[in-house]
Amino acid sequence: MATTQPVYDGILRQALDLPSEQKVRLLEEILQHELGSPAENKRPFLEKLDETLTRLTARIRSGVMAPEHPVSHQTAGSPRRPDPAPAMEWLRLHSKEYGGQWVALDGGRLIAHGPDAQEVYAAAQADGAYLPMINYIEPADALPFVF
Amino acid sequence: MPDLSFDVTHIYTSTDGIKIPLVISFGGKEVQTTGYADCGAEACIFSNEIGQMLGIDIEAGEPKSFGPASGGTLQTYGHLVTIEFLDINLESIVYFAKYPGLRRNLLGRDGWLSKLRFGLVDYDSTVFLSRLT
Repeated sequence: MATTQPVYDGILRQALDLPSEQKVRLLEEILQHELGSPAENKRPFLEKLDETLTRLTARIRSGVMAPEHPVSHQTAGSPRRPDPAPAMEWLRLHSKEYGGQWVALDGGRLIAHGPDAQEVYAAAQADGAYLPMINYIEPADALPFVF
Repeated sequence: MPDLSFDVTHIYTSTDGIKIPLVISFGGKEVQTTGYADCGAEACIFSNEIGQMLGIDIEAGEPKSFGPASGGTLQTYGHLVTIEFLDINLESIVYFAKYPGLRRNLLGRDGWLSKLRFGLVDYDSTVFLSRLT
């Protein structure tokens, strides 16, 4: 697909002009597609943005705002619980860098890391993030797990 | 062929197991972490560290020892907690390891699998879940 820079600029402008709630919906949909298909990860971001924006705009015009795919992380719509998807994605991307450590994540933001779980937890509490994801990352050279 | 339907579809991105994001709560404290679906584990077993974050007096719970496949004994203590995952909420006994160092939190049969309708297509990295009522 030969899409020109001015066209991409227009797509970006259109996305940035969306109300905050719809921007969040847009990013959630892109993430859901990426989680559902490894091939989706390799496509240029602006291409994915363009397609998702087109779908979202069509649904806004028709008054239908429900997600077109089942939302795998049902907490995405919950006002009380943070969506775990960004933290899970961070773990997928960065686990190799933090093997053998505990990490505390606020969405896709690393709050603290280290070998002592309680220190990491204390740092996360001091940060003030709501319900951070606290996870141990197995060392890269750990043997396959069988309990 | 059986006709199955589920309330929740979850695509997992982990390559080392079926990792599920969850919130575990006890006595007003809650921690967001992950657990691995493990049909081979008889119960839910969580790390000592997570129990400490929840402020649980771990050794005050119901003592129970588990025999890992590799042999030896894993000493644990059971406590009634709430586990929330993928919009499903369960009150369950979770066994916390006596000592730190358990690499994974396990979502096993008692307390988790036995309370769900559970489908798995590992080829597609997808689990299907419904809470049994």
